[in-house]
Amino acid sequence: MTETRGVWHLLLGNLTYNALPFYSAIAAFAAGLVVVGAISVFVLITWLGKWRYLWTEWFTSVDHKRIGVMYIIIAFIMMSRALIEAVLMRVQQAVAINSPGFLPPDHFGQLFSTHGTIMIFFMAMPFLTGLINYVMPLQIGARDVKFPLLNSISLWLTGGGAGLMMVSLVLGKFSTGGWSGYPPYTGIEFSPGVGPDYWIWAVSLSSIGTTLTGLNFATTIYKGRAPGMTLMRMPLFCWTSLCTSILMIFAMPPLTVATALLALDRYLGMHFFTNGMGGNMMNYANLFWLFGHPEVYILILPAFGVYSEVISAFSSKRLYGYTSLVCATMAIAILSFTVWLHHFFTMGQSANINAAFGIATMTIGVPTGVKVYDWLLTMFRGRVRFTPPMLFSLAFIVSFVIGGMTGIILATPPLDYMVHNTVFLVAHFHNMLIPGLLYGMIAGYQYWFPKAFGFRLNETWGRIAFGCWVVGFYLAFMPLYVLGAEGMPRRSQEVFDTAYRPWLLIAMIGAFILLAGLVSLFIQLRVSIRQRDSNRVFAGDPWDGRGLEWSVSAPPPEYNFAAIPTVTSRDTFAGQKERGQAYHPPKTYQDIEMPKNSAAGVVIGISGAACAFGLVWHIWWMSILGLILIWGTVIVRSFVRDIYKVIPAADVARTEARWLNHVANVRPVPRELETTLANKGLAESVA
Amino acid sequence: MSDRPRAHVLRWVLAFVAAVAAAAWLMAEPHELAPVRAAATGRAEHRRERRSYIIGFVFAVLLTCAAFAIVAWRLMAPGTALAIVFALGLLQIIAHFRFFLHIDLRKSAREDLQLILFSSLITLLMVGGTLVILFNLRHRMM
Amino acid sequence: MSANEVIHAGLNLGATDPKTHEEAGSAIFGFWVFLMTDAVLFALLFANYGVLLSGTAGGPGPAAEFKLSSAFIETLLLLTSSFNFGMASLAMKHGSQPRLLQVWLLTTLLLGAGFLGMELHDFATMLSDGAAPSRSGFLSAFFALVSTHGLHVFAGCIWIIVMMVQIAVFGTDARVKINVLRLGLFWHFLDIIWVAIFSVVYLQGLIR
Repeated sequence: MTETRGVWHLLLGNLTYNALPFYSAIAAFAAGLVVVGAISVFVLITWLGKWRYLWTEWFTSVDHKRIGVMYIIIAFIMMSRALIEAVLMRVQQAVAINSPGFLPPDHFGQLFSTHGTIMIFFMAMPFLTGLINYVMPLQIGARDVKFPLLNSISLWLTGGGAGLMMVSLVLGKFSTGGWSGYPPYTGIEFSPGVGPDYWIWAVSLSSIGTTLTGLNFATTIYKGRAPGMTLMRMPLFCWTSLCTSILMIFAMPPLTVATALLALDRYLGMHFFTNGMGGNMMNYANLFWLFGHPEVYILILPAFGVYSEVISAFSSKRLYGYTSLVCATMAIAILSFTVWLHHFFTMGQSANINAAFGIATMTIGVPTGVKVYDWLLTMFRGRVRFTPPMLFSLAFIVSFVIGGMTGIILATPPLDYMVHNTVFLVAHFHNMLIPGLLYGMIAGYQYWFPKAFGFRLNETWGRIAFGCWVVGFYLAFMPLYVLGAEGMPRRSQEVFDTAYRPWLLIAMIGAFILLAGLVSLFIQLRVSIRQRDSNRVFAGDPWDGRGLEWSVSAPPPEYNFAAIPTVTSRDTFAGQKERGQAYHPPKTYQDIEMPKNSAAGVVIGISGAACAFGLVWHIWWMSILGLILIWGTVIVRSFVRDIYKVIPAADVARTEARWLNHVANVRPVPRELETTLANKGLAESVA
Repeated sequence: MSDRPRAHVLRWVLAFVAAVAAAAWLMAEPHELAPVRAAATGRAEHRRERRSYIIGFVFAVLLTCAAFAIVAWRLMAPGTALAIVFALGLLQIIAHFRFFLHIDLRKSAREDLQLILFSSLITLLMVGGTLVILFNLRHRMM
Repeated sequence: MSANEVIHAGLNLGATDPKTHEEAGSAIFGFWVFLMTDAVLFALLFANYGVLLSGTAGGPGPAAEFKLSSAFIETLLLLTSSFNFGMASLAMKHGSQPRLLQVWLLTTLLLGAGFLGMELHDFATMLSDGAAPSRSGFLSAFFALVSTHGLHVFAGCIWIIVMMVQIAVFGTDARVKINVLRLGLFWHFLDIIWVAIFSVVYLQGLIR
């Protein structure tokens, strides 16, 4: 008997039957959903015979456009899960007033931990990475990012991490230490289970992917711009992408260090963060927030870039104050590394240190304010069109300013002492993330969707989604400001003050409306796909856009541009349209060399996830095998010489001719008709 | 500030200033040690580059020996010794950048310099911030 | 004409191979960015070491465990290997035959392996003394910092072996050259980190 148990232990580590979530009906139901969902997807793809298509066109693609779309798909899937988790928590808090509710503390702890971890690492990061991936190379006049294979590897590492999060629903329990995972609570002594290990490795997979992405984007923007596109001629979305990637490069290593040291504590009994034996647990908070603060700027800067693009496009006006916007973006990027202590004002350092960081924190409000004024002035005297992306941008401006002001409250140490770790804080950061990050991502998704897929999204459902997201946000989070000021702690599985009840009920209703907002987006997608033939915008410029991404067909050809454009000013495409130089074919067509597809990304991502899973359950052979596969793939790949394919000039000519022919035969639309069926993707020239 | 801490801080400041000055000399001096040819022909360039590695190696060995000697033979008081050791280390790192990595302030690509300077700034903020904060916490816990 | 321009960190191929020199621009910049992320990672491990330096928890401290002589020899080994890699880079840039390049790479590898061997021996001695990483916060921090560097050197050694195989198979084509340039940056960078390590860890620990 001992031998058999020994063999099983070697094979499966700590994984036993008890890992299955039969201790709770809700947990079992969720696990069942995951398993049934995964199996259904497999069966559906097999039944439709689409594996080959998916493998060759999507999974092994190193095309930034495909990779961008896949990132956003991951984001939407994970957002669905995390939003449902949020609703569960809101319902629990609304009913568990002087009563235990329906979620025991341990389960509630897992919920707020997965909610935060997923929303940050597997919703927000993939969403913004996907948007930047898709749009930025087109905007700088490049054919792809500088390291396409690395791009694919980053995607699959992120996907692997997301997969690990989903597996944690089925096998074992997740961490109950929140998305920040503070030891000693998450150390081996107080959390001996697999939870924090799931958290550590899922986050590590994501953060390695992000570091490589930041490297990729920064190199692309520095070295891959079209001739004549100086940095000061780049669209603002590219500036925010550059600053975001710089933040990614420098902010991810502290997270890697923090989680690695925590892992060493847990796996090898070391004493970085233990309570005694020379450990210093406060250093964890320091390291984590060295990452955590720049991280939130990673989240918000791309959204700021989207707003700059959207507000300018739908005000039919050049962006106001380009230089000040660039300076503000850079200032925000640099300042974001000087404020991290405001996340732990109450940890015990002196008032002088708190004051210094408090002042630095308030300083960041200034460049953000500059941006808000620049956006307002862009709209001023413009011809504003209230399309869904613009509606989201307007809601952002109002809501984000409110959130920013509560940020100033929190930046004041004595005030923070009152509301630290209350739901006031929860309200503040959701106030920044939802109207700030998420509205920006949704706006960007709706703005660039026609470019990516060749047809517009349904306007009506876009407005319904907008209504739900805005009303839902206010109902869900404004009460939390009141509750936080009244002293309600965050992460509470049960509350003991009946005065909280009305506010918690409102918040719960808000959560459901937010869920309706997400559902509306899915309905919008389904309706739009059904109506796609009437909404096609193949000519490529449905919004009378100003940047180079609008100067190609929708969807763009694989190589983006038949001939790399030469840039002479900002808002290149707008300038070309004004001068009547748009849609001119190049003098000659050349062969175009593009990178071939590669399975390396898929293998590395899946191996990474397998390695992580092995580490969680102490299945050492799996982890070792995973590592060998990862490094083996890298080495083997370096021996592959045949990594490019050539698209012959004749094919390029044919593709371009087909598109230009279409452009010549299609009727341009004025802005009044841009949301009607008349919009075929060609704008009336202003000249 | 009383006398002892002031002397202590002064020592560090002097060491740092000396290191930075030497570094600036290393980076900016137009090859007194390895003359530039106007047209870098293959042979001359080869010789120049080999010179660079040899000079860098010799520098590094000397700086290393100096640092180890200070500690091994206890040549000065502990506080001063530490300051000098760190300064020698900083100098050697800069010598590595200059002679092995061929990074000097005049000729390098703009983006590389921006990257190094920005990385140095971030590193300083993170490491300096960490030490200040954690030492402050320790002090308040004593 | 950018053939003679310095367009990236490290040795530039320049006029000896203008096409590869051009291609190298982004590849080397990207690798340089990666090295900066690694630099921040090490910087934080150093900061962590500084924070936990006094956390000896009654166990062995630096003076008890660090040996000046072995640190000195390890330093010379790594420094010489760095110099050797410089010679390898020159052989690749200016030489027509890969043989000299292979010889220099081999000597670099041997010196690097020597460094690792000595380091492992030091660790073994410490472990047998009871100075294990699980003994105290100070020792955890020491092992984390120095082992991370050691792992990087190990990865570098594997990379050298792979490059030697690639040079044998492909000769010095563009991709091989760019890879050797990147490996060079990596190897010199590791020596820079070691300078910081011997200063901050060994020398600081042994000053009396």
